[in-house]
Amino acid sequence: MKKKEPWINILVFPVMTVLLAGSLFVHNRVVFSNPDAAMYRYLENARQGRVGYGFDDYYGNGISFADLEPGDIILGGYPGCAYGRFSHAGIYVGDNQVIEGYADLGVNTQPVEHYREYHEVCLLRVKAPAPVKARAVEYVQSQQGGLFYPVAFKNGQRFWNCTKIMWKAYMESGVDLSTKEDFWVTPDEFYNSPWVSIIREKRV
Amino acid sequence: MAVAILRLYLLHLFASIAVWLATYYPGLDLLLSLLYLYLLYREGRVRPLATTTQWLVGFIWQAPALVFAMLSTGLFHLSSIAGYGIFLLSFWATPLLPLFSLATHQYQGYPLYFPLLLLTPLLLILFWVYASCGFKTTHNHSAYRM
Repeated sequence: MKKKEPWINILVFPVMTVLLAGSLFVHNRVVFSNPDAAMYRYLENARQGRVGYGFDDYYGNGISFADLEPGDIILGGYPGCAYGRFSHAGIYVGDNQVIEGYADLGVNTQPVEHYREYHEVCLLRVKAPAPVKARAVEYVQSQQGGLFYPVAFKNGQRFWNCTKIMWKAYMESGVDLSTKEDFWVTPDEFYNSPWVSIIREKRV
Repeated sequence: MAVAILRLYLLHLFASIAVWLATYYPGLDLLLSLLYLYLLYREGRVRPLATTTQWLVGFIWQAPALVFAMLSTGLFHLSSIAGYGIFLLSFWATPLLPLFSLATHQYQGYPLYFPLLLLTPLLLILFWVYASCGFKTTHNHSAYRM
C-alpha cells in the first residue's frame, strides 16, 4: 500500500501566513486605509512600469559636499524609481564618509563622493541640536554590518534598508523623521519632513 | 520526484512570506526560521530517494537561487537585471535571513551575512540531501535487524 504524504509539513507555513497577514491588517488598519502609504505608491508606480530603484548609471550631478556636518542626510535619485523621486539615502558621519545600506554590503561606510553618480541629489540638514545628531551618528556606526533587507519593516533592529537605519537613529534620539503611519520609510519622506531643511539640491 | 520538488517549492514559498511577515514581530522571525529548518528536515524524510535523485531534486528546487547568486557575484553583466540579482536572492533567502541577521561581523568591508547569502542555495541543497540521507540510513539499518 502506498504511504500517505504527510501534508502537515506543507500546511504549517500557509496557515502561519494567513494568521500573520491577518494580525498585521488588524494592527495597521490606518496604514491600509492611507492612500499615501508606501505600498500603494509602489504598486501604482509599478503599474506605470516603474520597478525597483530606477535606471542606475553615472549621471555626474557635480554637487558640492562642502559644509556638510555629521548627521546631515544625503538623498540620491535615479529616473524611474518605483518608490518616489529619491531612491537612496545616507547619513553623513564626517571625514567625507557616509553610512548607508546596500544589499550586498549591509550597513556600511562609503565615500560621500559617490552621490555624484545620481541623476538628482539633495543634501538635508536635520533641525536638531548637535548632541542629538552626534547620538544619531553614533547609532548608525554601531549598526555597521547589519543585514540589509529591501522590505524591512520599521519594527526591529536586525533588518535594515537605507532609510530605516537613519530614521531609527534619529528616532532613538527623539526625532521622528517619518511621522506617517506606515510599514516603511521612503527617502522622499525625509525630503518632506518638517524636521529638515534643504542645504542644496541638484538635478542633471 | 516531481511531487518532492513541488512540495519543496510550496514549503519554501510560504515560509518566505510567513518569515517576512514575522519580522514585523521581532523574535518571532527567528522561531519561524528554525521551524522552517525543522520542517525541511522532516520533508527530507518523507520518502526514500536514490542519491542522484536527492541531488537532482535539491538542484532543481534551488535553481532560481543559483541563478540569483551567480548574478549577485557580478560575474555576469546583464545590464540592469544583474543589479537586481542580490535583491532577488535576499527575497529567496528570506526563511534563513533571521539567522543570518545574527552574523553582523564585517570582513574587508563585507558583512559576514553576504557570503552566507551567496551560499544559501548550496547550504539548502546540502541540508536537504543530509535530511534525505538520514532517512535512507535509518531505513537500511532497520532492514539489517530483520
